[in-house]
Amino acid sequence: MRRVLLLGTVILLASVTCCRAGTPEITISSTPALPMENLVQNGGFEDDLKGWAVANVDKAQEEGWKVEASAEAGIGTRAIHIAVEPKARNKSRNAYQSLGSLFPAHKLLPGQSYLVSCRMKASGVNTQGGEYCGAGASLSIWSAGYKDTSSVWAFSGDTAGKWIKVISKPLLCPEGGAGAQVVAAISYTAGEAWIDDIVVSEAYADMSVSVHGSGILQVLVADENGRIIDDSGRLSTGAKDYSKSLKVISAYRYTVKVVDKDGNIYQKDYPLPVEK
Amino acid sequence: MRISAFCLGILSVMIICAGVPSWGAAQNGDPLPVINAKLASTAPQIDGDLGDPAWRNASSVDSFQLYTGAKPASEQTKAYLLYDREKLYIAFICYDSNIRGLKSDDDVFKGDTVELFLDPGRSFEYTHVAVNPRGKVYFAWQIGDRKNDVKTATKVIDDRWQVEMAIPFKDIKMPGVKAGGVDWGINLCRTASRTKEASCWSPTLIGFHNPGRFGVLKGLNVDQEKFHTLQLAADESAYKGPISIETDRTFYSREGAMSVSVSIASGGTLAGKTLSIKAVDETGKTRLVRQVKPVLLTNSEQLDISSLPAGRYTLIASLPNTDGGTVSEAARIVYKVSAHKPLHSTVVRNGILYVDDKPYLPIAIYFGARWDKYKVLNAKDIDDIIAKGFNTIIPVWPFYKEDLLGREDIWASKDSAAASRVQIMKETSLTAQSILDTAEKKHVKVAGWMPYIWSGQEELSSARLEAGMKTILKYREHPAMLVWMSNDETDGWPKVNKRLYDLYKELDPDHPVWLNLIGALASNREAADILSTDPYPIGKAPITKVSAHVDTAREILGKNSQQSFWTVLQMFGSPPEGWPRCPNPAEERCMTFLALNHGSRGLAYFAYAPEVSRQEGGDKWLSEELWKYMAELNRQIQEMSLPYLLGKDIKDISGTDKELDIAAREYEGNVYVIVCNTTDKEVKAGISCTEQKLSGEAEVLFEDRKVILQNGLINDIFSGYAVHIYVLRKGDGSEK
Repeated sequence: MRRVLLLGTVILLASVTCCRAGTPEITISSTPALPMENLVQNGGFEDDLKGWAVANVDKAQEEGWKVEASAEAGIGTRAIHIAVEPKARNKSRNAYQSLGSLFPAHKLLPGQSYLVSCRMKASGVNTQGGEYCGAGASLSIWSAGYKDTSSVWAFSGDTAGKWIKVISKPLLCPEGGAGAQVVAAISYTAGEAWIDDIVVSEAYADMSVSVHGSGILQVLVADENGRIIDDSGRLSTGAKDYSKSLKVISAYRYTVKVVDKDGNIYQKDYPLPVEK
Repeated sequence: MRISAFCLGILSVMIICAGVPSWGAAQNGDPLPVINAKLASTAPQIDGDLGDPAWRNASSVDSFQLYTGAKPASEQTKAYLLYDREKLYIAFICYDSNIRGLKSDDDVFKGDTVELFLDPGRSFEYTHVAVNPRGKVYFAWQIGDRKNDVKTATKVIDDRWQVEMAIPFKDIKMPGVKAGGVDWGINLCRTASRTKEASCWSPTLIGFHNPGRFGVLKGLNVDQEKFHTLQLAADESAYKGPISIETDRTFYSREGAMSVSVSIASGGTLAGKTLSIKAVDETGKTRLVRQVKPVLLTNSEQLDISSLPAGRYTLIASLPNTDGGTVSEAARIVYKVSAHKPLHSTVVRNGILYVDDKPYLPIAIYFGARWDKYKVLNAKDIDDIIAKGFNTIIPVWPFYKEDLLGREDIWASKDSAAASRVQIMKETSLTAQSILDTAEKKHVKVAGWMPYIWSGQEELSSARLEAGMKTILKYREHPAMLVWMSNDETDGWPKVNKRLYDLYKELDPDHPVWLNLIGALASNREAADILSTDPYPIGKAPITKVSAHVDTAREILGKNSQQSFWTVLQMFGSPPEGWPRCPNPAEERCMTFLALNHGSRGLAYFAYAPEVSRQEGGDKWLSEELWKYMAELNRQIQEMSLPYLLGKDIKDISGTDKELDIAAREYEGNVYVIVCNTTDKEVKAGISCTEQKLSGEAEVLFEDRKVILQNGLINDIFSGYAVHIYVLRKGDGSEK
């Protein structure tokens, strides 16, 4: 994962036109406040496996699996690499990180939903065993007394040599939860995977976009895949203000683009969660 | 990604600089030879014989040099060139003083070869044609063999071998209008295996693939834009750029307008730009143009298409790039199809299928057999099906042979089982058309299902779209057509299922679309007018799996859903797949009435097996006993169809034994109580109703007996999987 240098403020992607007089003012605010927090430490593995633990690593060679830091990265320079031989496919082979006991030293809040996302590349991995089968990152929360576990998976099978971004379903943090853990894994399948940029954050955010300027022709909000989540359409000539409230999934980067009456395009990003 | 002309130019220059020989050969800056194109008054015959008078008017070149330009080739070559509005004609005469040394192979490039390079507008996106003395042809846009309609002929004579080529302009890679100039690059080349000489008309210095050193072809009066447009339409995947175009539909018929949306991913400026959207027909003629200014990042336009004739149209969105010289383009293919008025009205309303406003309970059968038995199927099998009381036939894929054979390139190219499918189709005497015609004569219906053309998860290419379109347009007006079955057990493909549903409805809004699934109704509920599942319990699960499926379906669809739910019932055994035997008649009847009791409004039985299969397999596949019994069962279903479809559900009916599944329907004043024993054991039980008191005498339908009700109770004995249907006739004493 690329280290984020600009923290605590909205990142402005300046273009030539945005600095001229008459540049529309684009404001993005959010609840929770921006940038949201990535609860994972070293989720991009830029510090190799610092902050991550690997269980039974002494048996790894004998059992036919390995977990290691790798220079093959989705973003930045490092990622985690996991390889599992067919004889070792009967378990999750992983590195894990505790997100703390929820009470009192918690990072997750009861009643809030969270999700996990990652970038990953996998070869020879399959997902035929169910949603817990595959490669990627997972998030688990234990109920009081560690009686039950609820988990969500940002998993995929073979990615045909490409890096992809995978996002889990939201997971509601229960009252009285005993602990939470994030895992980078190849689970119940053989194969090889590189996993990078693991993010655990609140699942949803209320994003407000407001634009003020002279002669706004269009305002567009799109996620990092180009999927448009709000399109003002062609605004009436001479429009000066536009505002919109949107409930968004935090795992995506969003971009607000504004076209003014002269055809100039201005844009501003709603950032991804960052480690604090 | 397309390599830009600029990049390729740089690349060429780098290669050229590295490869220029130092001993006085041709230099990169040397003037290029020129040939002037001549228009043919008549097209030459492509037969390898250059005696055709058409060639007398051709331009010609000779004096071939080694490709390095070092010296003339030892064996000389002459070439001729002509063109008309649609094609370019080229002929080579390759003189050879020892023609016996000529070599050729199935691989074009092993041995003697002539090669033609064409670069319209000198954009460096050239077309390459190679032919050997055997007449084997290689055709590429720069690299990679591609389909084409090039015609060639060769002839070997005592002192020469000759080649004639007719190359359609539509196959020659054409640049966008602004990307290319008027002159073309051209080169004519020859490889002689015996002399080991590679010679050409315009020496290319580093090998033949050097478009910067192609000669110049002048005076070719060809509508490049037209051919570029046609290529854009035919090769839509090649044009994914900074702009994209979407439409609200793929097929238009009665719609007066087309909604077009053009999105621009560019982060640059839109200042001063004009977005052009045009619709081009199959001949390359522009039929509609819309100019959009000012341009937005997303541009939604309504195009009036009411006057467009039926046909294929390519919508092209063009936006000038910031450099002003090039244009970003995106293309999408849409079709205008003729509207039709079906002979029969077929609609789904309140969960019920109506044909000509009459409720219709389909008793359908998959008309397929074990794959090795298709060749024995004939018209007698259809007669047998109809004689057994089935009112709807579902012909499976081999019968669409008229639509699938010959189109293996679009449905079978990646399918390892395709060869055996093709063989089965060839051996099948019946066709979908003949089954439809027979069905019409015998007053039964057909559910249309054309797998392979539109199945699979991949995006449908225009070839697949068109093949599917032709099939649907061909059969949609047939009077026997009842519904389209869009897919089968494609539970995990909700997007594909929805896309297919939309396409079917666009082409044929007058027939409902049916989708059969294993169970994933929730994610596919938007993908059909009729949904079904196929619980096959016999030998694997309790028989109540059937009713549980229907209950779940009704819960998912909602009780007030307009959609219909059907059940596909097991009429087969298959030991290799874990079904040890086919159902016996009692089980089949029990499954049938369980489905109807719980709200299934259509039945489909899987599957027919011809007599030879029934005799060979016994109850391992479809037993003769069950097949014969289907006539009686279907008669009973028909008789009960209106109470099930139109009757009022009577609540609070119960039995004294929990193994009994009970439903009651009131229809035209009569009360029907349908009781299924869901076990293989005998059950003695009473049935009562709290909503209305049952009294008097009840006729047991299909059993020629009556029961006397005592204290509002129907008391009866049920053998294993028995179904008793009691009817209390109007005026026979039931109190309301």
